[in-house]
Amino acid sequence: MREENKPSEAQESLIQIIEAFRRMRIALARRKTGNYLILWGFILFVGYILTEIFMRLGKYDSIVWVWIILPTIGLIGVCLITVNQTKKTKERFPEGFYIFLIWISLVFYGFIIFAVILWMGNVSLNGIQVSLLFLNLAMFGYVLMGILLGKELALIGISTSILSVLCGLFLQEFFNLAMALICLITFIGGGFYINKKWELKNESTS
Amino acid sequence: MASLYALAEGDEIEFIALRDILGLSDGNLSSHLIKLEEVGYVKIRKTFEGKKPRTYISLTRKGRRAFEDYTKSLMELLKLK
Repeated sequence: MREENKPSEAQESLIQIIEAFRRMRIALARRKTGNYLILWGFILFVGYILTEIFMRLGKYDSIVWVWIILPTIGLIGVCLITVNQTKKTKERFPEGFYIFLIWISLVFYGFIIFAVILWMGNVSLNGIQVSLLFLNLAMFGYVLMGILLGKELALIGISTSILSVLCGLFLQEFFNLAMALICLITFIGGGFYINKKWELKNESTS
Repeated sequence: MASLYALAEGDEIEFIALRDILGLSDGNLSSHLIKLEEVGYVKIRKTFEGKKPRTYISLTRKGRRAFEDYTKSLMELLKLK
Protein backbone atom coordinates (compact mmCIF):
# COMPACT_ATOMS: atom_id res chain seq x y z
CA MET A 1 0.00 0.00 0.00
CA ARG A 2 2.80 2.32 0.99
CA GLU A 3 4.69 1.45 -2.19
CA GLU A 4 1.56 2.12 -4.26
CA ASN A 5 1.18 5.56 -2.72
CA LYS A 6 4.78 6.59 -3.22
CA PRO A 7 4.58 7.98 -6.76
CA SER A 8 1.46 9.98 -5.97
CA GLU A 9 3.07 11.33 -2.78
CA ALA A 10 6.16 12.23 -4.75
CA GLN A 11 4.00 13.94 -7.33
CA GLU A 12 2.20 15.88 -4.60
CA SER A 13 5.50 16.93 -3.03
CA LEU A 14 6.84 18.04 -6.38
CA ILE A 15 3.71 20.11 -7.06
CA GLN A 16 4.09 21.80 -3.66
CA ILE A 17 7.76 22.52 -4.36
CA ILE A 18 6.95 24.03 -7.75
CA GLU A 19 4.20 26.18 -6.21
CA ALA A 20 6.47 27.45 -3.40
CA PHE A 21 9.21 28.14 -5.96
CA ARG A 22 6.75 30.00 -8.20
CA ARG A 23 5.46 32.17 -5.33
CA MET A 24 8.96 33.19 -4.38
CA ARG A 25 9.85 34.01 -7.99
CA ILE A 26 6.76 36.23 -8.26
CA ALA A 27 7.68 38.00 -5.03
CA LEU A 28 11.18 38.52 -6.43
CA ALA A 29 9.72 39.86 -9.69
CA ARG A 30 7.48 42.33 -7.86
CA ARG A 31 9.95 43.68 -5.37
CA LYS A 32 11.34 46.38 -7.68
CA THR A 33 7.97 47.64 -8.96
CA GLY A 34 8.88 51.03 -7.51
CA ASN A 35 11.46 51.44 -10.30
CA TYR A 36 8.62 52.03 -12.77
CA LEU A 37 7.22 54.77 -10.54
CA ILE A 38 10.61 56.39 -10.10
CA LEU A 39 11.04 56.40 -13.89
CA TRP A 40 7.62 57.97 -14.55
CA GLY A 41 8.06 60.40 -11.67
CA PHE A 42 11.26 61.61 -13.29
CA ILE A 43 9.63 61.77 -16.75
CA LEU A 44 6.65 63.78 -15.46
CA PHE A 45 8.85 66.05 -13.35
CA VAL A 46 11.06 66.90 -16.34
CA GLY A 47 7.97 67.22 -18.55
CA TYR A 48 6.25 69.78 -16.34
CA ILE A 49 9.45 71.76 -15.76
CA LEU A 50 10.16 71.91 -19.51
CA THR A 51 6.52 72.87 -20.16
CA GLU A 52 6.88 75.76 -17.74
CA ILE A 53 10.16 76.87 -19.34
CA PHE A 54 8.79 76.72 -22.91
CA MET A 55 5.60 78.49 -21.85
CA ARG A 56 7.63 81.35 -20.43
CA LEU A 57 9.68 81.45 -23.64
CA GLY A 58 6.50 81.38 -25.72
CA LYS A 59 7.61 78.24 -27.59
CA TYR A 60 4.28 76.42 -27.50
CA ASP A 61 5.16 73.97 -30.30
CA SER A 62 8.05 72.68 -28.21
CA ILE A 63 5.62 71.74 -25.43
CA VAL A 64 3.87 69.30 -27.78
CA TRP A 65 7.24 67.72 -28.62
CA VAL A 66 8.13 67.46 -24.93
CA TRP A 67 4.98 65.39 -24.34
CA ILE A 68 5.68 63.20 -27.37
CA ILE A 69 9.36 62.57 -26.68
CA LEU A 70 9.24 62.10 -22.90
CA PRO A 71 6.47 59.45 -22.79
CA THR A 72 8.30 57.61 -25.60
CA ILE A 73 11.44 57.60 -23.44
CA GLY A 74 9.25 56.39 -20.57
CA LEU A 75 7.90 53.50 -22.63
CA ILE A 76 11.42 52.49 -23.66
CA GLY A 77 12.41 52.69 -19.99
CA VAL A 78 9.48 50.46 -18.98
CA CYS A 79 10.59 47.86 -21.54
CA LEU A 80 14.21 48.01 -20.31
CA ILE A 81 13.20 47.68 -16.64
CA THR A 82 10.87 44.75 -17.47
CA VAL A 83 13.53 42.92 -19.51
CA ASN A 84 16.12 43.51 -16.78
CA GLN A 85 13.76 42.30 -14.03
CA THR A 86 12.71 39.23 -16.02
CA LYS A 87 16.36 38.37 -16.70
CA LYS A 88 17.24 38.67 -13.02
CA THR A 89 14.34 36.73 -11.57
CA LYS A 90 13.35 34.58 -14.58
CA GLU A 91 9.75 35.25 -13.59
CA ARG A 92 7.24 37.69 -15.02
CA PHE A 93 4.35 39.41 -13.27
CA PRO A 94 1.44 37.00 -13.49
CA GLU A 95 -0.74 40.09 -13.94
CA GLY A 96 1.60 41.54 -16.57
CA PHE A 97 -0.75 40.88 -19.47
CA TYR A 98 -3.69 42.48 -17.64
CA ILE A 99 -1.57 45.52 -16.80
CA PHE A 100 -0.65 45.80 -20.47
CA LEU A 101 -4.38 45.62 -21.40
CA ILE A 102 -5.25 48.31 -18.82
CA TRP A 103 -2.76 50.76 -20.31
CA ILE A 104 -3.67 50.01 -23.92
CA SER A 105 -7.37 50.53 -23.05
CA LEU A 106 -6.65 53.78 -21.22
CA VAL A 107 -4.64 55.19 -24.12
CA PHE A 108 -7.40 54.14 -26.53
CA TYR A 109 -10.21 55.63 -24.46
CA GLY A 110 -8.14 58.72 -23.67
CA PHE A 111 -7.86 59.48 -27.37
CA ILE A 112 -11.57 58.74 -27.92
CA ILE A 113 -12.54 61.20 -25.14
CA PHE A 114 -10.11 63.78 -26.52
CA ALA A 115 -11.42 63.28 -30.06
CA VAL A 116 -15.05 63.64 -28.89
CA ILE A 117 -14.18 66.88 -27.08
CA LEU A 118 -12.52 68.25 -30.21
CA TRP A 119 -15.43 67.00 -32.34
CA MET A 120 -17.86 68.97 -30.20
CA GLY A 121 -16.30 72.01 -31.81
CA ASN A 122 -17.45 74.76 -29.51
CA VAL A 123 -15.52 73.30 -26.57
CA SER A 124 -11.83 74.05 -26.39
CA LEU A 125 -9.48 72.85 -23.71
CA ASN A 126 -6.60 74.86 -22.40
CA GLY A 127 -3.22 73.35 -21.56
CA ILE A 128 -4.11 72.69 -17.94
CA GLN A 129 -7.34 70.92 -18.86
CA VAL A 130 -5.61 68.70 -21.45
CA SER A 131 -2.92 67.92 -18.90
CA LEU A 132 -5.54 67.03 -16.26
CA LEU A 133 -7.47 64.84 -18.70
CA PHE A 134 -4.50 62.66 -19.64
CA LEU A 135 -2.87 62.71 -16.20
CA ASN A 136 -6.06 61.58 -14.49
CA LEU A 137 -6.63 58.84 -17.05
CA ALA A 138 -3.12 57.64 -16.23
CA MET A 139 -3.89 57.86 -12.51
CA PHE A 140 -6.97 55.73 -13.08
CA GLY A 141 -4.53 53.20 -14.53
CA TYR A 142 -2.58 53.29 -11.27
CA VAL A 143 -5.77 52.72 -9.29
CA LEU A 144 -6.54 49.66 -11.44
CA MET A 145 -2.96 48.41 -11.05
CA GLY A 146 -3.32 48.95 -7.32
CA ILE A 147 -6.29 46.57 -7.31
CA LEU A 148 -4.10 43.93 -8.97
CA LEU A 149 -0.78 44.51 -7.24
CA GLY A 150 -1.15 46.43 -3.99
CA LYS A 151 -2.96 49.32 -2.36
CA GLU A 152 0.13 51.54 -2.39
CA LEU A 153 -0.16 51.99 -6.16
CA ALA A 154 -3.86 52.89 -5.91
CA LEU A 155 -3.08 55.43 -3.16
CA ILE A 156 -0.44 57.08 -5.34
CA GLY A 157 -2.97 57.31 -8.18
CA ILE A 158 -5.75 58.73 -6.01
CA SER A 159 -3.54 61.24 -4.19
CA THR A 160 -1.97 62.49 -7.44
CA SER A 161 -5.46 62.84 -8.96
CA ILE A 162 -6.83 64.83 -6.04
CA LEU A 163 -3.77 67.09 -5.87
CA SER A 164 -3.74 67.65 -9.64
CA VAL A 165 -7.41 68.70 -9.66
CA LEU A 166 -6.80 71.04 -6.71
CA CYS A 167 -3.82 72.56 -8.55
CA GLY A 168 -5.94 72.93 -11.69
CA LEU A 169 -8.61 74.75 -9.72
CA PHE A 170 -6.63 76.89 -7.32
CA LEU A 171 -3.02 77.08 -8.55
CA GLN A 172 -3.44 77.71 -12.25
CA GLU A 173 -0.64 80.24 -12.33
CA PHE A 174 1.84 77.75 -10.90
CA PHE A 175 0.20 74.62 -12.29
CA ASN A 176 3.27 73.16 -14.03
CA LEU A 177 5.62 73.82 -11.13
CA ALA A 178 3.11 72.45 -8.63
CA MET A 179 2.56 69.34 -10.76
CA ALA A 180 6.31 68.82 -11.12
CA LEU A 181 6.57 68.89 -7.32
CA ILE A 182 3.56 66.59 -6.83
CA CYS A 183 4.93 64.03 -9.32
CA LEU A 184 8.32 64.21 -7.66
CA ILE A 185 6.83 63.47 -4.25
CA THR A 186 4.11 60.95 -5.13
CA PHE A 187 5.89 58.99 -7.86
CA ILE A 188 9.55 59.12 -6.89
CA GLY A 189 8.78 59.09 -3.16
CA GLY A 190 6.16 56.37 -3.68
CA GLY A 191 8.56 54.39 -5.84
CA PHE A 192 11.25 54.33 -3.17
CA TYR A 193 8.64 53.49 -0.55
CA ILE A 194 7.29 50.54 -2.58
CA ASN A 195 10.80 49.27 -3.30
CA LYS A 196 11.50 49.31 0.43
CA LYS A 197 8.13 47.89 1.48
CA TRP A 198 8.00 45.12 -1.12
CA GLU A 199 11.62 44.16 -0.63
CA LEU A 200 12.02 40.70 0.85
CA LYS A 201 14.81 41.83 3.08
CA ASN A 202 14.69 45.33 4.55
CA GLU A 203 18.15 45.46 5.98
CA SER A 204 21.45 45.45 4.15
CA THR A 205 23.94 42.96 5.42
CA SER A 206 27.62 43.49 5.13
CA MET B 1 12.95 25.12 1.51
CA ALA B 2 11.76 25.43 -2.08
CA SER B 3 11.05 29.13 -1.50
CA LEU B 4 14.46 29.69 0.03
CA TYR B 5 16.10 27.75 -2.81
CA ALA B 6 14.60 30.27 -5.27
CA LEU B 7 16.73 32.97 -3.67
CA ALA B 8 20.30 33.43 -4.82
CA GLU B 9 22.88 31.54 -2.76
CA GLY B 10 23.57 33.35 0.50
CA ASP B 11 20.56 35.67 0.15
CA GLU B 12 18.30 36.18 3.13
CA ILE B 13 14.59 36.80 3.41
CA GLU B 14 12.77 38.42 6.27
CA PHE B 15 10.55 36.10 8.30
CA ILE B 16 7.43 38.23 7.67
CA ALA B 17 8.01 38.28 3.90
CA LEU B 18 8.47 34.49 3.81
CA ARG B 19 5.34 34.02 5.92
CA ASP B 20 3.29 36.18 3.54
CA ILE B 21 4.61 34.43 0.44
CA LEU B 22 3.85 30.97 1.80
CA GLY B 23 0.57 32.00 3.43
CA LEU B 24 1.48 30.32 6.71
CA SER B 25 0.87 31.41 10.28
CA ASP B 26 3.78 32.68 12.42
CA GLY B 27 3.70 29.58 14.59
CA ASN B 28 3.50 27.14 11.72
CA LEU B 29 6.41 28.72 9.85
CA SER B 30 8.47 29.01 13.05
CA SER B 31 8.09 25.33 13.87
CA HIS B 32 9.13 24.37 10.33
CA LEU B 33 12.15 26.66 10.45
CA ILE B 34 13.28 25.47 13.88
CA LYS B 35 13.30 21.89 12.64
CA LEU B 36 15.25 22.87 9.54
CA GLU B 37 17.70 24.88 11.61
CA GLU B 38 18.30 21.93 13.92
CA VAL B 39 19.47 19.79 11.01
CA GLY B 40 21.54 22.65 9.65
CA TYR B 41 19.49 23.31 6.51
CA VAL B 42 18.59 26.93 7.27
CA LYS B 43 20.30 29.76 9.09
CA ILE B 44 18.17 32.02 11.26
CA ARG B 45 19.63 35.41 12.08
CA LYS B 46 17.93 37.58 14.65
CA THR B 47 18.69 41.24 14.84
CA PHE B 48 17.25 44.59 15.87
CA GLU B 49 16.46 47.47 13.55
CA GLY B 50 16.10 50.32 15.98
CA LYS B 51 13.81 48.80 18.56
CA LYS B 52 12.13 46.41 16.12
CA PRO B 53 13.25 42.79 16.24
CA ARG B 54 13.88 41.30 12.80
CA THR B 55 14.44 37.71 11.79
CA TYR B 56 16.21 36.76 8.59
CA ILE B 57 16.23 33.32 7.05
CA SER B 58 18.65 31.84 4.55
CA LEU B 59 19.31 28.41 3.15
CA THR B 60 22.69 26.93 4.08
CA ARG B 61 24.89 25.13 1.56
CA LYS B 62 23.98 21.87 3.28
CA GLY B 63 20.29 22.79 2.90
CA ARG B 64 20.69 23.57 -0.81
CA ARG B 65 22.40 20.25 -1.41
CA ALA B 66 19.76 18.37 0.60
CA PHE B 67 16.98 20.10 -1.34
CA GLU B 68 18.62 19.27 -4.67
CA ASP B 69 19.03 15.63 -3.62
CA TYR B 70 15.43 15.49 -2.47
CA THR B 71 13.99 16.91 -5.71
CA LYS B 72 16.28 14.62 -7.69
CA SER B 73 14.98 11.59 -5.84
CA LEU B 74 11.39 12.75 -6.41
CA MET B 75 12.07 13.10 -10.13
CA GLU B 76 13.64 9.64 -10.26
CA LEU B 77 10.67 8.19 -8.45
CA LEU B 78 8.36 9.78 -10.99
CA LYS B 79 10.74 8.81 -13.79
CA LEU B 80 11.11 12.44 -14.87
CA LYS B 81 14.31 13.91 -16.22
